[in-house]
Amino acid sequence: MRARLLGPCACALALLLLAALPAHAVDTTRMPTPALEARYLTLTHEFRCPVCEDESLADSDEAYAGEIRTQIRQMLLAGQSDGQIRDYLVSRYSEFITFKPEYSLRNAWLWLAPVVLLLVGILVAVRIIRARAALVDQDVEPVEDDLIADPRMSPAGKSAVPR
Amino acid sequence: MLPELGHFALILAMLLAFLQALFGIAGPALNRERWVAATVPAVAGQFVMVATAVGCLIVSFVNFDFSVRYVAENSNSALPLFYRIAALWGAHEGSLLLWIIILALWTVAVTVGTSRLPKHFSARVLGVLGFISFGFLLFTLLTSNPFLRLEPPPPDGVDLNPLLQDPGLTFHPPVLYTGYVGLAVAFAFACAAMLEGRTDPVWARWTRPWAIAAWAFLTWGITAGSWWSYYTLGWGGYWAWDPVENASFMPWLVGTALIHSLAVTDKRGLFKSWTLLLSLVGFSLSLIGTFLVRSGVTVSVHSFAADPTRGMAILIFLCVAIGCALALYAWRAPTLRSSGGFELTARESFLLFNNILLVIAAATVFAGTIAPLIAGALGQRPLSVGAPYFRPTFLLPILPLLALLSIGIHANWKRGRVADSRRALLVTAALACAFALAVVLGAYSGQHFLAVVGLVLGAWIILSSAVDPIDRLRRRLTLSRGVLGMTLAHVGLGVAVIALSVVEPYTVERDIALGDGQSAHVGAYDFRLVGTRDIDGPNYSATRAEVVVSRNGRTITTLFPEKREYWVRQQEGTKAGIKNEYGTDLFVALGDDLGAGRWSMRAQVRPLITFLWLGPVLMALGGFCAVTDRRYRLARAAADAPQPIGPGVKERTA
Repeated sequence: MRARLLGPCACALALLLLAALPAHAVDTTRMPTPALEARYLTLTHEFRCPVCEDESLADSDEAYAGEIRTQIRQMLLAGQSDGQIRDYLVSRYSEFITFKPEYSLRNAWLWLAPVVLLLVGILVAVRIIRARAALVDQDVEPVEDDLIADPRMSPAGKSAVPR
Repeated sequence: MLPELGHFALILAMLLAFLQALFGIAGPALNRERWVAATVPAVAGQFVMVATAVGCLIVSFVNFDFSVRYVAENSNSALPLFYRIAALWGAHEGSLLLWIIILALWTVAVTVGTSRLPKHFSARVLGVLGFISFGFLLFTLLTSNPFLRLEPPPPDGVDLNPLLQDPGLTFHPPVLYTGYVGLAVAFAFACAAMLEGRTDPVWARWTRPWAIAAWAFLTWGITAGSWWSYYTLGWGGYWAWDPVENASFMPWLVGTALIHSLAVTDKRGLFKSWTLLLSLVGFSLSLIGTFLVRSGVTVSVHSFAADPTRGMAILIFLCVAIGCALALYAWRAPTLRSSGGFELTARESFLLFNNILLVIAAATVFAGTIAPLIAGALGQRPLSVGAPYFRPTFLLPILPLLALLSIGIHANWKRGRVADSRRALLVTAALACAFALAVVLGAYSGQHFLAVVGLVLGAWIILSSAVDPIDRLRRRLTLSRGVLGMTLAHVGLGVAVIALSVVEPYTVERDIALGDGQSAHVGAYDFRLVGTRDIDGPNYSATRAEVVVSRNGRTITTLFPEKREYWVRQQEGTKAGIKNEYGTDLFVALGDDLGAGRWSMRAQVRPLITFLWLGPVLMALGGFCAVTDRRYRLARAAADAPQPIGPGVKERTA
């Protein structure tokens, strides 16, 4: 998707785009059944055009992307499974072609990072809360209520609020 | 003459920024009051110089001075005045200048806003901002000077990129940059607090309005960008998990964590070192984002090599700025202690989870964004990371966050007493479930598990956030701006979550090929091509199609998608035809001429997408509302008092 441009430096990208601005593809390919159609759309969105900057096969206007789309269509029509098509594309064009990194040893950190971080985060939170819960009875400081809009309650406000 | 004046002004601005940094940071450290006092005129001078430079470049654009390379590359004699001004930030050099003037504006605002804070503290804040400004000015002058001349001048300019010739774009970069750069203010406050060795949390209250304002601008800017890409780029995408989008999203996630963490530090004196760290990380991510985008490392490995000076220069500045800040943190953080306690169900606990989950989300986005770079650096096979990675891994921390939000806003500080709100929580949860089922079973066909989860969570957030404010209003009690802003922002989040839960699974998108008079079925609608005709714009020619959309034979609207050819750059652009009907967008973008009067086009039916923009707009409004809370003005007034630190605060700092 060309939505790449919407980032923080859309303007910055203008520079990058000076070189080439491939038009967006409108792929009017029809598959014989809705089920095949859905699979075709899923697959063409999951793989990237190997020669474009961050565009999916479905979105790319490059002839090369069109050829790969044709391959996918033919494999679908030949009755191959999604898994077979994925394996074929990755073996043929290298892992670069898929937007979904493979579940492999080298990508293990990438896929495990969110899960590990979540577990570590929960552990850390539990430890902090345990330590703080033990202090709660000694903590005699008054706490202002958020919903009370009277700022005279606030400690910093006390000294300076004009009457 | 004018470009040289602008160039000279930029050099003076750099020198003044250097003085601002020197006086601001060294003055308080050496107790030189005259240096401290000199920071303010340095800020004023720097601003005037930067404004002069920007003015000179704008005048060059307005007067078609194609002898200036940047003007020649980004405008054209046929370009309308409006876009000639906006062309200022149409490419690399100018957008750096925009970055710098926005930082200068923030600095002026901070100078005014901190005039009642302790002199040494505000001088340090201005000093840190001066250092950042100096770095960017130096970078601009050395590698990206927009005032360079062309010899001989070309007869006409190359023109502004057509994609940027849109009113939406004109406002998108300045707003986004305002948010991006605004995080520098929180960064500067944190650095100043650490330089000063403050162990009390008063700086958190001083920082809060600035951090919230920056966050609100960032929210607004990202939304504007998403909307702009949706309607102007013509392919109906609103978020693609692209590196450039991620570069703006990571600071937003950390900024969101920061404004919540600041609340805890301000109100309870807890999480002090964590809040400092978030302030540093938030702006660091802005800088890293600038590096990722400017150097082009993420777009392709080759463009980095194409301009290694710029990439390296930003990288060096990044390392110096972040390195200094982290060193300062490592030195000061261990001195920060707090003795406050809170229970498991206290508001502090919920905000702790908020922070942890948001940071995990940011870290996940970061991991996915840099994974291809790491693979490249290690010489491995190239790797692509896209939506199929980001979607599930982002939802992992975000879904629990949304669920905890509804409960957390009912928790009190210190001792949660959530049980007091049990009834309200149960009733709102039940209503949310009923709403979700009604939507999924009634309004849209096909059931999706995630859609149900999202609808329940979104509706629960809205209802649960509204309970207390409505209750107070019914009892004729006042509502502080802070609480009102918070409620607005949370309701906005709920609205966005609901919209996303419906847009994602229930969008119908089809690429169709139509001849004159032919029609195609898309979702419940029929799209019929009436015909096409050629039209001329000010600097482009276009084919405009007339597409009639009907439902069950009843005509709903006529759309006019355009495919434009901009003359000067011979570049194509699309203008989608969009009509909103009860929150559902009917969308057509024109593709290619297939010959024999047939055109390919992309038709979409996107339910509730309007609310996807409305939600974040509410969030930004909530932020702006919260900034105006009396508390922050009083915090400044309190700083004027002879005893700058309130009695309550002193106790906490033991």
